[in-house]
Amino acid sequence: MIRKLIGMLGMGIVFMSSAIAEEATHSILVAENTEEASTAVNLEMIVVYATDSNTAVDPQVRPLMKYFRNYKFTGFSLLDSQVAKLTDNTARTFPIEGNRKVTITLLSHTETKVRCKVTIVEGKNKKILDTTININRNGTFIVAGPKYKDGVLFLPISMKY
Amino acid sequence: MALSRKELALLRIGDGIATTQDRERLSQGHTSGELDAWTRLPSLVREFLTDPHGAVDVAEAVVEDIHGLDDSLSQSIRAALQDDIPIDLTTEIMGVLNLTDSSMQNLSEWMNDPEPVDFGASTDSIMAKIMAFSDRESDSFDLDSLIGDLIEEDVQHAAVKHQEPQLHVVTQELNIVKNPVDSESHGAEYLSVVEFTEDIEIETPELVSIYLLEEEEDSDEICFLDEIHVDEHILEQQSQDISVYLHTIQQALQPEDQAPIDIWSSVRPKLTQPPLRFVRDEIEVVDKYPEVVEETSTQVEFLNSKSIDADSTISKVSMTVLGAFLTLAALWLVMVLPSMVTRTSGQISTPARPIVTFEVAEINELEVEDLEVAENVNVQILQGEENAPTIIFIDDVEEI
Repeated sequence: MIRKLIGMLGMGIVFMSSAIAEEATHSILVAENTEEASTAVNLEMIVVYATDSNTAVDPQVRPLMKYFRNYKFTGFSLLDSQVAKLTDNTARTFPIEGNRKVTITLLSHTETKVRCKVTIVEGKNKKILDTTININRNGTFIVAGPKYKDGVLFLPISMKY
Repeated sequence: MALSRKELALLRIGDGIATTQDRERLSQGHTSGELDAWTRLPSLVREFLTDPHGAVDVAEAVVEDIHGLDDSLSQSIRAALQDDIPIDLTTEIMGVLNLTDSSMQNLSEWMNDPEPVDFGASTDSIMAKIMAFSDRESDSFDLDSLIGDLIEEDVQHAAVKHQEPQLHVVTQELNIVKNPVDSESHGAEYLSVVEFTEDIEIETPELVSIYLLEEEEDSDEICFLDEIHVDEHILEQQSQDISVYLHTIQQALQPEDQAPIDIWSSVRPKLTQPPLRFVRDEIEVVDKYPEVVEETSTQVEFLNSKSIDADSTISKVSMTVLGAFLTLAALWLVMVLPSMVTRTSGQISTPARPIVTFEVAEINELEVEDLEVAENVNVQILQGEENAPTIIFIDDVEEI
């Protein structure tokens, strides 16, 4: 029994050593990614469900409420949030509620503005929106309108770098 | 009734109690052959009556077997043996029972039938009539046969032991047998009573008769019926009915100043045979329980003995499992936990799906370079305030 325990502990030490080595490798990779991030654009997107069936407002949505007041909706809840680092000519697709997919492609960016393309596909291949925009650095824009349940979805998108 | 000295001597020599004077008196008028035949007569009658394979006509068999008697004496013996025996006891039983059943009436008629007392023939007559009853009245056969059977048995016992005064016997010329003779080995039982005095004249002659009820018991038929119809309800009902009839029969047969007649002792073995058989089956089943208990106890001992080994085995297994568990826990502490701590710190820097604290910049300028929407989709570009985020609102035309 003691021999078994010693053997198992020995094996555990071996595995521990290999795990530490893997973690070191991972840290290096993270450092490399961080270094690349200095030239990338941080894409942030949240999915907000707006409805007039309730008046509940998610606390995380409160900073945006002043932009939603012009609409009839009274209840706002945060459904999802996405973050991605994009470099030029790279795209990122996010699935959202209603069997839809949002694809954001960073076409290019300068010191002051970002040029990107936003596409929303519903179902398999029904493109309901395809637009190319220019937005200022760290600027935010909102894509709204896709229906969900008895309300709609609001997609605030920021390009920060 | 008057008896001569000679006749009394004949009775005595027949009973084996003849004195020297009796023999001398008889030797004067009879030959030695006649006396020898006369001596053999009681035992001969008894032999024929108790022999189950003997002649049916006992009187004729006795007369034919015995020799040395003249014709007149032989005829007298034959007449005596063929004396009919009307038994008023049956009528009394019928009256007490107050039964109007046809088979019982026929049985009563048979019992009062003035046929010659040819017991073999009478037995045949009994069976023939009972069979005739059963053929005609099968519905009432079980009860009738049962009661008839009871009457037969009870009449035997009661008449033998307690009912001598009620036996009305027609006296014939000769009294043959003195003592009651039982032949229980054949299920037959008969009674012969003769009472005489030393005097020539007997003022109050009592019973002088040969009374025989031979039972040729054939219980298979009854048992067969019982086996067909028997169930708990029928058995209970029959038991109640039999109890009532037996009580009535006891009342009819039992004199007030005598002890109760033990009818059950003779009737119960036959009546309770089917229930006893069922009970025996149940008892056999019940008897198996102790064996099971013993086996159980044996198993318990076996389990107990095994439990010691089992405990040791379990102990060994438990120790092995516990050791393995502790080993795995140690491995988890050494390997997995540091890895989780490291990854947690990594997730802070690069979360897969971090919760976004969405901050809106003070200045938000949007220029739409190109915009395409699907058919039936309306699009609106809105901006509420200056420097506020631009809202691209798409809406289905159909919905509008």
